[in-house]
Amino acid sequence: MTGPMTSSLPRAVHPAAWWGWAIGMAVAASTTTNPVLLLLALCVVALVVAARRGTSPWARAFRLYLWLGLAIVVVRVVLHVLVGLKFGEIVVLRLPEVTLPSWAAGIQVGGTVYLEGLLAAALAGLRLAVMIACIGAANALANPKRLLRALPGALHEIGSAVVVSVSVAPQLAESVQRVLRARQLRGDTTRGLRAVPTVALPVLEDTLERSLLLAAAMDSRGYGRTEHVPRGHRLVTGAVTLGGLLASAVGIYGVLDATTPAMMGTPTLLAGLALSGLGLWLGGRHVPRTTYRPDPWRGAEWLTVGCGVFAAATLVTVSRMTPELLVMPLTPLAVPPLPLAPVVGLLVGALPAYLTPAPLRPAARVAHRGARDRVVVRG
Amino acid sequence: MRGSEPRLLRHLTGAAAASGLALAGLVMTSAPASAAACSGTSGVTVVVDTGGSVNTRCAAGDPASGLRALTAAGFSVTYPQQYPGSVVCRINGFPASDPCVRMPPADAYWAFFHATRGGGWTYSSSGVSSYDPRPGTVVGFRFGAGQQPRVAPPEPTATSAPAVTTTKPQPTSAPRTTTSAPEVTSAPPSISSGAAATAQAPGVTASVPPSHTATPSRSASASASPSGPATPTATSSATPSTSATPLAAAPTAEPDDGPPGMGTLVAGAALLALVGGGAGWTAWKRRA
Amino acid sequence: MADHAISLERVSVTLPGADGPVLREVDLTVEEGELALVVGRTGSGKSTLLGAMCARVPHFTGGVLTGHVLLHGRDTRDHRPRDLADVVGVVGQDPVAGFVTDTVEEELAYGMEQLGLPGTTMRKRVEETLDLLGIAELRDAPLRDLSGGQQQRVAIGSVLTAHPRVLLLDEPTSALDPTGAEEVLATITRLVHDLAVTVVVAEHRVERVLHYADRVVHVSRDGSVSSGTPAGLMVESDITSPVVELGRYAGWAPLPLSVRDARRAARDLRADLLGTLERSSPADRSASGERRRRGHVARQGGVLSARGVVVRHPGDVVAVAGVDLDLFPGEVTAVMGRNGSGKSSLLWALQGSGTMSSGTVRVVPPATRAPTPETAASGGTGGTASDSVDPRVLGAAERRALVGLVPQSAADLLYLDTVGAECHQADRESGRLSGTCADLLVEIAPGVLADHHPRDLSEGQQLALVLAVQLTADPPVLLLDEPTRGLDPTAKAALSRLLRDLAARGRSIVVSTHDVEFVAECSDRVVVLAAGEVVADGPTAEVVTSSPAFAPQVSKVTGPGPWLTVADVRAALEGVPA
Repeated sequence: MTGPMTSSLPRAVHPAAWWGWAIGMAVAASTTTNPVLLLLALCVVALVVAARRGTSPWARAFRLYLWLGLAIVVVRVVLHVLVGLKFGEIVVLRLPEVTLPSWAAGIQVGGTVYLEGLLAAALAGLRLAVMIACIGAANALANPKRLLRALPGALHEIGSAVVVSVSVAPQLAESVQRVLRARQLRGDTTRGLRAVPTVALPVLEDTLERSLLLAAAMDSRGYGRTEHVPRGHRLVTGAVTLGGLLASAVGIYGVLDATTPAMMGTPTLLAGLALSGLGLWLGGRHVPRTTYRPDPWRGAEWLTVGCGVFAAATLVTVSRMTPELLVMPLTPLAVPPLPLAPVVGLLVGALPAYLTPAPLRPAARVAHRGARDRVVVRG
Repeated sequence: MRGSEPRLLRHLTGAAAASGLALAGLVMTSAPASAAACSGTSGVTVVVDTGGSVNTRCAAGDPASGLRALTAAGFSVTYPQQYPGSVVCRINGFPASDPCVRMPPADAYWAFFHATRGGGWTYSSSGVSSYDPRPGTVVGFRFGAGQQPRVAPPEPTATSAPAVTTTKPQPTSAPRTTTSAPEVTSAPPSISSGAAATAQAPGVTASVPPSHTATPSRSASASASPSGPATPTATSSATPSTSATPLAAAPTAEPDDGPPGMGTLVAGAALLALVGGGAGWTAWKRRA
Repeated sequence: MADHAISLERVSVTLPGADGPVLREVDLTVEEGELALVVGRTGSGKSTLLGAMCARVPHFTGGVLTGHVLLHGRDTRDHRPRDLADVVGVVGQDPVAGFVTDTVEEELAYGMEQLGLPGTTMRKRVEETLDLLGIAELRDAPLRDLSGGQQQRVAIGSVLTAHPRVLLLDEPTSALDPTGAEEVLATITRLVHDLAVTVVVAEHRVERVLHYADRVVHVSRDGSVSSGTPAGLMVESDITSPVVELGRYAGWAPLPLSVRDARRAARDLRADLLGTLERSSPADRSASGERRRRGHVARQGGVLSARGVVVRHPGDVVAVAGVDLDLFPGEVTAVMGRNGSGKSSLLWALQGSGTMSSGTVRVVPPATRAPTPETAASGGTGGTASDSVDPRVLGAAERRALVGLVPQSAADLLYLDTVGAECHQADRESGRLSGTCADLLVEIAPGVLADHHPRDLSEGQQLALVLAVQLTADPPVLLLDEPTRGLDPTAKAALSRLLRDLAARGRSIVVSTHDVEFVAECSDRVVVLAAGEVVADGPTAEVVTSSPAFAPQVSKVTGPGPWLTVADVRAALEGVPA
């Protein structure tokens, strides 16, 4: 399983590298509606996930993203049939059409469904589904909590808050389940809206109580400790950060609006980003926090990000040069092309499946015993 | 999701095989149209200005949107691949230079206007698919950087008789269309694929390179079907009939360097099977 | 100055919304390296005292604190809890509630990261701590997958890595089974002895910690605090362990604190007890023995009969693996076993609301069990098996009238905003006369006012309210899942009396618990579960004395006789029925 470039020791690849790779794949997928290329991208992502995901719970979540993607395609097609603007030549289904007032001319309720329109809707859905699968892959491959650990020091507290709020969701679901079961013991089986207060009150109180306990525990363990920062320094940091953010916002506006002067675009954006970075660095200097066993950034990480960037760059370039190679020909309908460069680009995206270190595998024994404990204690 | 791949491919294959028929189908789905402006207060007059030539036709009845008026008037529309059904990229195959993948550029697109008969052009603030023109008004399309069509919206016709209406293949069809002269340019009727063999041909004026043979031009079936009693009433239905007999032989669907065929499909399927199979195998092996 | 580890100078605390101070003029010092045990009734301010020691009171909770709390010379007035993180480590009751990360290793490192220690130091300390706590093999394990004892040890480790000089533990073992509790306590004593960490631990179950303690701090309900040596303070304390009670009864001085001390002092007592055993004929053995044999006496007319109960949870986990169980009226049955042995799953399956993969549960409905002249004459009180029904097929309300269950987190059943409203709702749910529940509540826990908010009640009062709600339906079988969690000894004794009383009125009671002393007080019969199977089932005295893990302290002192509680001993010696 290890390629020539791999250091053979199993280790977790830096989460930011996986995110970089996944975003590259998502960008690549966003450029095309060619079903062969979209499905190829999906297969590549699935391959890398299959080969390099860890054993944590979120690593098993990839299939949920696949189901979500499928749901998106289905919804897209159904919406097209129901309210989409139909076009095309090959009649698939004849539905009666509802005449709408003029202000609703943008939608078409019912009406004859054509194969081209249906395909266009399905492919647009597929493209979104593949992009979501890429994000799902990043989630499966990179522990989001570890990614937050890699945040700069100044953002650390926000990172912690996010981590905590993320872990509240499963606890909430657990509480709801427990309270629902407890309600049965009182012979209370009302459902629907009327049951909401009987469930919500204990669950909310439970959640609040847990949050307070956690907050107290975190406080006692030193969360939020800061060194004393001189007032002048604090002001400078604030001004730099704020200025950077403002400049970034203006810069983005300039980039997006072609009518603004050139200086308002990219240069302002770059300056803003630089200033923001400086602000973060200044702010982080007075956060005494350190990171335990930080994830290293070595060759495998560069390789992973590089593969994603290569895939994105290839497809973006092709879409600039010969965009017709990346689209499904709909008017007239034809077999999608199979262009060489995008295929190679996407296949390069699969390389991390073989060229990165294998993930760590914790001992199975502990997990097994725990699983038993956990379920039973709550049962 | 990978499981749906064969089905999709089957669809595609079927689609490719049926493409000849498909193009013929376009003839069925588009309503016959008249040349020149509509008469009276019925129908929506459609003015298309490529920048080189101007073409005016009439969409009978009350089309639900500017786009419907365009197609009902007998123009063929190509959409950008990313915005199918809502954005106009080519009209009657013009401009051929746009690949019709993304949104057309801001200096070379079909600008959409509307106007009252004899009034002035108004740049539409809503899209072609959402603007609902009232019968008796005019919609205009001008290719370029947003200029308005070079002709003024046609004056209302004085005659109350429906001089120009759609001809439908249904029994109660309108009377024979009057052939009106081309309004502005006298460019030769150069849609050369042979479809425009009917009396409406003079109305189709477009300086389009003949490479656009793939775009079938609709030939109005006016002359072909008015076998019913010719009642000169202005009853016109907005619903294009789809039961018309296909007329013109569709031009061949595939240009020489056109879309790939079965070979690419097989190659694509094999590639997908290889990578997808690899993913499945890896997942299975790691689970074991 | 030569600092005390902890020193409180004239500290009074008034929490927001409280009428009077929780702590009043407290002067207290804890020296470095001491293990101080904090005892007190529920609501007496033990937690507030610990909170004041780590600056959570008043920085986190609000309220007013007067006086000074100094930790190694640092005044909590000027230091927030986060600023004391390198001096004080705090471990709460529920370890999971305080976990910030996912895995053992990251959790151990979290506190050090906040303190900004260099990477090499952190690496070294994590390894040390893993070894110190004996959890090295768990380093990558997800925290949620650990057993309760392991989780609590990780929680202790996670504050230890910051090398605090004071460790505060608020009921660290209350959620643990006896084995888990032992693991944690062994860890704590090791910290005190090997590392000279100052440890302050609040604990209801005094018997677990008392013999390790150097100092006992007693918090009274009026907010005054007294401290002294364990033996000295225990003479007067209202919270004691069975060993201490036995010592007090026997008049031993100095008061023994451990089973070992007591056993050495109890030579004469044992001889006396054995004498009573020889004198009494088998027919009129000690009264307590009679009570515990009644399980065998009443073995007719079972009210609930379960056969081959199997409970599977998702993920191929078999929680209960084929349990046969008969329950009889008038009997209190204790279900024991380590965490995860299937106790809860069994109770839920018996009640009919939980999952049951296979097996049958039949319950004799009260109507057919009402004593008719015939059954009364034959001595039985029960109906026949043919009248019995499967609670699973009934609606939730009817099921509830057959088998009542008080779940582990009893407060889940409460959702209205006053006690009175809860009671009114319970009457309506059960179709009883208005006031039934309120009457029951007055009987169970006098002094719980109808206009109180259920969430403001103490654990014992909440439990009483839930019990009243469940008893309103008048079920012949009542199941309680770990009701003793978080109860102080007084509340526990009250619960024990209540359950005995309910059983005496013909109900069949099942209690799952880890608390051997409670079992010794309360139950007639003990069922021990392990890995979902019944490994022991018999009269309490027989089952608990046969294994040291389940033996109550008095039994360990007086063994091998059948005396489980001080009351048993007293009854045997004085001839008074227990």
